[in-house]
Amino acid sequence: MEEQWSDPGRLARLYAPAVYRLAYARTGSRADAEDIMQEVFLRLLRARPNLTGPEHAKAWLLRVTANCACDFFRAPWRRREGPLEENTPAPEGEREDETVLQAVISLPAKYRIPIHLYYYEQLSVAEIAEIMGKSQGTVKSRLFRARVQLREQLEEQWEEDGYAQS
Amino acid sequence: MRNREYRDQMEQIKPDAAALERLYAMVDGQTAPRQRRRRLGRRVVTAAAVCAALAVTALAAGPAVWETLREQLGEFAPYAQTVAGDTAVDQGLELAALQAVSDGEYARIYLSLRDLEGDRLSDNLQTNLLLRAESSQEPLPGESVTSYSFHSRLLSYDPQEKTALLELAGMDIDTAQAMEVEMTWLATNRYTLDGTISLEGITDTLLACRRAEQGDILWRPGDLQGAPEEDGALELADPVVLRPDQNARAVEGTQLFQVSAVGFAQDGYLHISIQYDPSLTVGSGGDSVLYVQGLKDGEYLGYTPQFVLAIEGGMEIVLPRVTPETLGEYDALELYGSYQTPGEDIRGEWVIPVAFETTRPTLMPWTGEAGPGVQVESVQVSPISAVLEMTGGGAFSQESVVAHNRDGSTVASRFVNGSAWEDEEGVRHNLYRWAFEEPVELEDVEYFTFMDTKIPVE
Repeated sequence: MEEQWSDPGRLARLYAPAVYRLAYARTGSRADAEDIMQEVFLRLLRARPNLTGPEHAKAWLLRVTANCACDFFRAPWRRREGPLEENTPAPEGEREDETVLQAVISLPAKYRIPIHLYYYEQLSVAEIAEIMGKSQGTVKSRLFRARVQLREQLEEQWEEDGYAQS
Repeated sequence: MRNREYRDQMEQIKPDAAALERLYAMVDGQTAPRQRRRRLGRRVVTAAAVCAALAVTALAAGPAVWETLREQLGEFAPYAQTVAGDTAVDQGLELAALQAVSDGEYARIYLSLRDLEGDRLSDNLQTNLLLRAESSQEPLPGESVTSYSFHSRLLSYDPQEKTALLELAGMDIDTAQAMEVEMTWLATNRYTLDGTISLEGITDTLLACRRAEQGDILWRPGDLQGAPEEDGALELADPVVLRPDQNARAVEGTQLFQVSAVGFAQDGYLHISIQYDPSLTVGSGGDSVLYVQGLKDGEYLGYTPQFVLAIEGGMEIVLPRVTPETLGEYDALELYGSYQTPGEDIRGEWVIPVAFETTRPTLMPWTGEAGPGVQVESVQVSPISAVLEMTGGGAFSQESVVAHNRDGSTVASRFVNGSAWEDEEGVRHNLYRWAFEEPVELEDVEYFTFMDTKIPVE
């Protein structure tokens, strides 16, 4: 039963979207997220870690994704690539409102990964701390501050858009 | 986050089918990794041309600013160049480029901002300065070569000269090409509050209270982005607030905010009554809301649900999960949020073209191995930075390049940025940059080390 969790093909089919989304949350770029997704699975192929189950496998992949994204995109200098959707096809059908998603992407870099792991992956603070290699206190603090900033950003956005908050 | 919105919106973000097929083929061993989009562009080294038509405006700053700049540059001062550029004046504020340290692809530009008409700047200046420049990377079809850097910081403010000194940094640009500095907004009255309220001496004794109204509630636990549903269900059926000045204490880290009373109210919850000067605008959009999170032995405990009620001269924060039974989990609270002092944002347009000569890095002739499977393909060194291109290996951000001088001294470096891509043969290339902590003169260097490998200087 353990064998399947060492099979990169199976892991890619199961977890590539999760890897891609975490990379996207960190970089705000579909093209960069695609590059990072490939890099993460390359590292999987090279490292061949002994993964004991789905949770272990996913945690390993998310940890490597967080490291890859931070490593490649740590520089304050970022190339401007135009609107996010310019170079990649939009999903089928009407585009959904992305107000909250864009607010997360515009957070300071250190807040994006914990926010994504908490709200999208629904991981616990302890699990996020393990993935990020930070203390639980640091993760809690970053989550807290990110939430405060998100609220302020979204309020401003809603005001600009003319929404009345209920 | 209004709960599930982020999750729902992120669900729409997914790798396209072609990217997944490529990935599956790669992990199944059918194909080599796809070539990365980015390729390092090796530009032909050309002599820098300084635009003579631009007026030199180095005198825009007074002597104190220049002295601060010299101190800031430290050992790098001899390598700084005067920047040729216009000054831009709008709203009676003059922006000027003074000096730059650059090796052709990595630059730190120093600017002054002077108030010609009044006293509107301060040591709390915030701007949206940006540097617009051409990238030194080779553009791919459909990609722009224009890059933008927003990485600026205030270095000092001199109230006598009414001048601020700012640093704007950029990398992976070609500083021999045209660059522009742009600013459209500045403010000096925005602050972040980060104070601490000690809970020492707080007991389960109930403090004196008075009734409040539901309309006094400015903030409920469910208002926080992404608050759990159970927090959103919390209510204050019969709100009460503490009577003021029962056990006043300071908020460590600020003198603008004070605690008028802190302790348990008749509702059994911990209340913190906070007072501040009426000239302050607190919170976002004037909502008068600050936030607290728990602390124990200096460790953050994270957010605990809170209500905020308007009271005369301030706000009262109510923590419904902090009761006499749970008080021992905390020894202090962090008070956090934003506030503004009186004043207005200044909007305008300040754009200045900048140009300066660039000292090009030296390409070292050495190539070789630096650890198992890591081949160094090129080493490029300037007085301010070193750039290594490597094949094989993974991340190198924890490594550094050290210059070993002939006199026995060494100069360390810090990681700046890194990137990686695959070439047509599927070989992974890594390009990493480190900035030296002190200037490095190649003629003084005997050798460099990287990952315990000696890189000789020939």
